[in-house]
Amino acid sequence: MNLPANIEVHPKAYFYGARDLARFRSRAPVALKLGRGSSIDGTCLDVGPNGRIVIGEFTYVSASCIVCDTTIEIGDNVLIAWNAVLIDNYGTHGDRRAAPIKIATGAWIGFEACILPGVTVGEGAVVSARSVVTKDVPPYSVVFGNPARIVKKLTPPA
Amino acid sequence: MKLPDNFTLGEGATFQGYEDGYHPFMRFKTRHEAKVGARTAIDGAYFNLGEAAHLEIGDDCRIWEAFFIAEAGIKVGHRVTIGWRATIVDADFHPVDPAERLKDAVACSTDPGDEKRRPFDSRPITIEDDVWIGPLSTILKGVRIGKGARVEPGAVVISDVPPGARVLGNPARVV
Repeated sequence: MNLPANIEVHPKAYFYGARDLARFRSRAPVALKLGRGSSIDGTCLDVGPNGRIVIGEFTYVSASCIVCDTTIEIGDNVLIAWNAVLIDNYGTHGDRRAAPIKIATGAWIGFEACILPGVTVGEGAVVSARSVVTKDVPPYSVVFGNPARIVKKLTPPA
Repeated sequence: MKLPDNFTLGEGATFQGYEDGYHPFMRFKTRHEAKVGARTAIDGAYFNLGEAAHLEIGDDCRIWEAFFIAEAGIKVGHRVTIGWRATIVDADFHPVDPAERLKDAVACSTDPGDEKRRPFDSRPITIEDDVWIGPLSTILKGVRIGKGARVEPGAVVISDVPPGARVLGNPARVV
């Protein structure tokens, strides 16, 4: 598969699915960066002209959907399950929200969860399946529901 | 479509699989017999069953495009209706503990080195007779849905549903 020149895939990373790029229109010098050991597997990448996606090492993005007009930063060792939605902008002229999303190292996004504009998911946090995350998730916490609420605290690694 | 040898249909049961999305048996790895009862109609379904997973579907059920994802087991009673794109998942697939999860992510990656997959939590799901499960709903691990209960569309069920109850929302509550 021929990737656009502004996509940087590490030799030990994996990118699958040409269909992913049907809505990839970014003109940023580095529009998508995929680090060592990371995979993107059949994810819809709807990236606007100035959109940038940076993905760290050993991160797994399964068949999900990333809608990006600003910047979406995904750290190392992040797990993103199937049909998760990361959307950093929505709305029309008068009522538009666009703000970068950050998923920190070791976070885990459950299947069909939705991360809305401006949200930061903290280190090691868990977003449970089908949650809708409207505000920041503190590090090492578990959130669940629509809208997502904190249900549990985890022990940070020693 | 050719069914796996250990996937058995009861008398008068029908199975319709579609291959345009996921192949229904792409991740059908169970060593056990997966049984579908008599006169049950499955119109589109996706089975992601781990090696030790049990699956049993009763008689006279109607199932449309449901996702059965199991490591422990899923048991569906008789006369159960499962709506379009309902997802029934009995496992976490990754450890919840942050330190273990960091290592599991490396083990899952394309450059795992010596890291091995870590154990995760899974608990079987039981759906009793005459239950109605709405479209786009989700049933999570360890849940028992009581006889005659009704899971409304889009509900996310994380705890047991009493017999005859109606549950709604994310997380699902009895109404």
